[in-house]
Amino acid sequence: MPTFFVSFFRPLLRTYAMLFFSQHLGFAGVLLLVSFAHPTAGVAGLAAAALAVAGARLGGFNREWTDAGAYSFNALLMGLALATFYPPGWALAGLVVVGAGVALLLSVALGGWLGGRGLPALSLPFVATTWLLMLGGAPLLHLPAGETSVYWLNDAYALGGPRLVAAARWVGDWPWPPLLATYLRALGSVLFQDSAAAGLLVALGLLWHSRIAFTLSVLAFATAVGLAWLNGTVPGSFSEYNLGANYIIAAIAVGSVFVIPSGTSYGWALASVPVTVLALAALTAALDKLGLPALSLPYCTTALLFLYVLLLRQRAGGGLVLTPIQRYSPERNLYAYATDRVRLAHQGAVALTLPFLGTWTCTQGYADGGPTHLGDWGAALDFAIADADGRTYQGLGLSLSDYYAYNKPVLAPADGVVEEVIQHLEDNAIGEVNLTQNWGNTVVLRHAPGLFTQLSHLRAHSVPVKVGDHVRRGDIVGTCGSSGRSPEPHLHFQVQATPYVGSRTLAYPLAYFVAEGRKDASNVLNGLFNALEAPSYSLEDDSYVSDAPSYASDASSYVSDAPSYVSDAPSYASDTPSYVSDTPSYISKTPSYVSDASSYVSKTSAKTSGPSFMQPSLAQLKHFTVPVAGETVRPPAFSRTLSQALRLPPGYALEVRSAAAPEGPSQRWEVFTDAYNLRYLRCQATSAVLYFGGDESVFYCTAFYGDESSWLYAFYLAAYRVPLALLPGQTTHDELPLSIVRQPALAWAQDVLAPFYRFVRPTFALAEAAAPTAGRTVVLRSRVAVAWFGRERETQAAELTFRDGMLAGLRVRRQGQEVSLHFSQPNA
Amino acid sequence: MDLVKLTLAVALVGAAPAAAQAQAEQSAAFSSSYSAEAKADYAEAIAPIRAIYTGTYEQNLRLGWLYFLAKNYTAAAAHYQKAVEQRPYAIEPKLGLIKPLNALGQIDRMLTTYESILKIDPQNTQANYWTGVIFLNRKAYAPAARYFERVVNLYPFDYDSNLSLAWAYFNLGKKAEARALYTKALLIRPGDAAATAGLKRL
Repeated sequence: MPTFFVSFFRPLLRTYAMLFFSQHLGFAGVLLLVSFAHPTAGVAGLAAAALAVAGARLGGFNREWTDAGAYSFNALLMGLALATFYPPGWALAGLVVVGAGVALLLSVALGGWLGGRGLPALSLPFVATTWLLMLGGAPLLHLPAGETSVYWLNDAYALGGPRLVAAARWVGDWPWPPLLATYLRALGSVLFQDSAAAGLLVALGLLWHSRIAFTLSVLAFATAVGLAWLNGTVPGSFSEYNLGANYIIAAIAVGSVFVIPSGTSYGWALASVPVTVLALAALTAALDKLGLPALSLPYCTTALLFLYVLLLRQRAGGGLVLTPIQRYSPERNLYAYATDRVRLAHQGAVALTLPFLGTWTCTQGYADGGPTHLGDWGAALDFAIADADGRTYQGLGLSLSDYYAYNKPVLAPADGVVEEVIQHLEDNAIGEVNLTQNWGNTVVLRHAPGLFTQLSHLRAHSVPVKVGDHVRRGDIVGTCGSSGRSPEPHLHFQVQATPYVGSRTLAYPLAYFVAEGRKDASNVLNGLFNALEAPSYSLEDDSYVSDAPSYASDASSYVSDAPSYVSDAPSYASDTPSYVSDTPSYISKTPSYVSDASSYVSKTSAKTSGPSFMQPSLAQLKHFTVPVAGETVRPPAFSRTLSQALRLPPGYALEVRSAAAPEGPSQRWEVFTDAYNLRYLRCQATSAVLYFGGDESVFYCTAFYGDESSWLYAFYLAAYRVPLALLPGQTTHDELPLSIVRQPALAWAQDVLAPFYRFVRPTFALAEAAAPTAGRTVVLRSRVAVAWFGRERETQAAELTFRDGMLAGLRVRRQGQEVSLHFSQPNA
Repeated sequence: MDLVKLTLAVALVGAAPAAAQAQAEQSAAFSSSYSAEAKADYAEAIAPIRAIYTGTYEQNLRLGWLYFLAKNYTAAAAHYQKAVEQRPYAIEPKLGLIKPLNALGQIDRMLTTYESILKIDPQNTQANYWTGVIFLNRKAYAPAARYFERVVNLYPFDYDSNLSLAWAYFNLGKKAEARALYTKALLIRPGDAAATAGLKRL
């Protein structure tokens, strides 16, 4: 029975919630109840929805969509509508059965056709099916249209005698303020209910489901009424069905469901109202000739128009971001997007790592005042090796071999193909520069279509690869030299969108590196770097310097020009095409997220505000950021225990037991991959699901679905972000989505304001508990807290123990309760 | 307290013969008023009532009606209003009050009067229908439809309410319902011009 419930009744219930783009089962229950305010409609709707769910299951259509109710909500609408048009009887029953089938087929067909274009089918199948039945079915069955809703008092009397009539009238005659009554009736009419009381339930349910959607429903209603008022329309003459099923639903769809809610999206939603008004007027005029009602067609046309133009933009953003992954809740969509934009901005990007071994100093960063990286060539990095005194050479520094960097291996920063090799230029004597061959010996690698890296000033004849060779990350592609415009041995590294030597640069972060603090760049190089490396004409045009940020906006066109680059991240792109197309911001706006990224990169507390010169700060692991001038950087050494324990390949399983009851029942957590190649941990006892990701340098959780009192949820909060390199004294910070906040009043207040302003911040911090203990045990402590207006409340404190390449224990303190868990491998 | 009761008792005993006489006078006055009204001499019909006027409910109701017939609508409304206040649960004076108010063009007062009737008698067909008409004239089609629906549920084969409800539905965009009702109106009055025009407009 439970299985049957899950596989059939839950999709059936969700069908109701889908009318408002929701999966909230409580809201769905309210809507189901409301639909029975018109008993015939309630029965017809339920029957049609049940038939559609069953049909979708038997037909073998997309299970995910079937379970979400996406294939059945059109049948539900059709059932509700028909029962309000035609009198109950066998003829109506026949129409509903046939209509449910047609609605299902159209949902699948239109869903597939529009889905291929990144658009939803909305309620188009409902409109088409209802027309079909009105034009074709009803006349065949000699069904008189339009009578049933008129004689509702007689129906009520027949059903429940004078008491039901009295009750119906008492509810119907409630003295609502006129505008409130119109709003409520508008919401009720989405379910074809003509009653303010039914609408009140819908409104409360909508508020329960989403504060943002509710706010938009009120705003859209106010806008529609305002427009009507400007037009001289009397309040009593609104068509409540059109207010609800067209204006309000269109605004909710356009402003909060298919677009991430924001101030701009609210404006976009309100802009949809006059367009829907026009569409409604035009469609009604045209369809009247055929004797057909417009139903919710105006909403569909407006919403599709407003979404399709967003899909076709060349430059996304501007506050209108298409929802990357539909979570069926405006709040969840917004909070997940807001956190993921910072946390997962790099997901799908080609990870570039430092092109050398050991510790080097960044002698010139991105357009940060360095002498040679200017204008369009500003997003380049120079590296050299410096000793404790900041000198780059030993001895007199007069010969190339005195320099630490000279002849050190230069590595491929990522897998790729060798695009260009120049290695015939002799290295310069110290202090001299080759002005004619600016870049000197150079290797250009192609990592993805439209993504190249250039490594320059290599030592003559040091390049072991040739054009067309495939290289893996870390392969040696040459050694450091001093050819070209280079007064002393150093490595020039830049990312570019074109394969030519000396192409203009592209701001692109490094996936991870350890930064060990800053040294004064000018001090390091002793002023030797006065010879300029950038093409000489850049000097003649001062605007290059002042225009420095322009390369960032140029970069955006690169992304839109080369969509195939995106397809290089298959797991990601196939999953959510809209996400990718909507977030080139992570490339075009690198400088902005680089600074964002600092919010989660490992920080060494209390040491960051010291002087920049030779600051003895602690090492910190940085992710997806760009080294700055003076920073000493090295590739991280990863903790084997952590890397092994958190690799979590598909099929890996953990047996989890409470330490308090070691003989008690255990839970099994197993790693799976979904259709989009994303990995998740699933708890078999609670069915909770934890999505996670990461690379060689970090493990992080991306989403949790399920019971929030489960052990898996405790692990989700405890291991939200774990850097896999252990650096003494480092604390890792990250931001959690707002959906983890469990104080209803606070959360609801934040929900209403969320598109404009966020005052509640859930934060995560993780640090190593102490110096590594004996053996191979790593203990990490993490803390999740919710901060608002200067207050802070701890949500969870946890201690993670890793031993011998495995997660061994988790101790959690949450809401005054402490849980201690032991982990073991099932087969061990 | 006792003093009050005593005074009242004395007054009543003393007043009894006087009361019998007043009763006879009132009957005669009403009788002559009816005769004059039958001859459409409304001034003559008003005079005897005025002569014995003590402000009773019956006198106010009678005067309200006669002043209405005499086209003195203000006076009619004033007397009906007094009657309404004297018997607040009664529907009779409220329906009477409607007539002079209508003649005076006081639509808002008409509407509140109808609403006060419906508070007492929600099924009142006349009040429901005419409230609907007032809303219809104000182009407030949604409330109009709700009042007409009540009438149509009580009298499904009534021409006026069917036609009015059809017009309200038409303006609310409920075309199918409007069509059904116009068709019904044509059943009641075959070939009816208003219903035919309505069907054509759909």
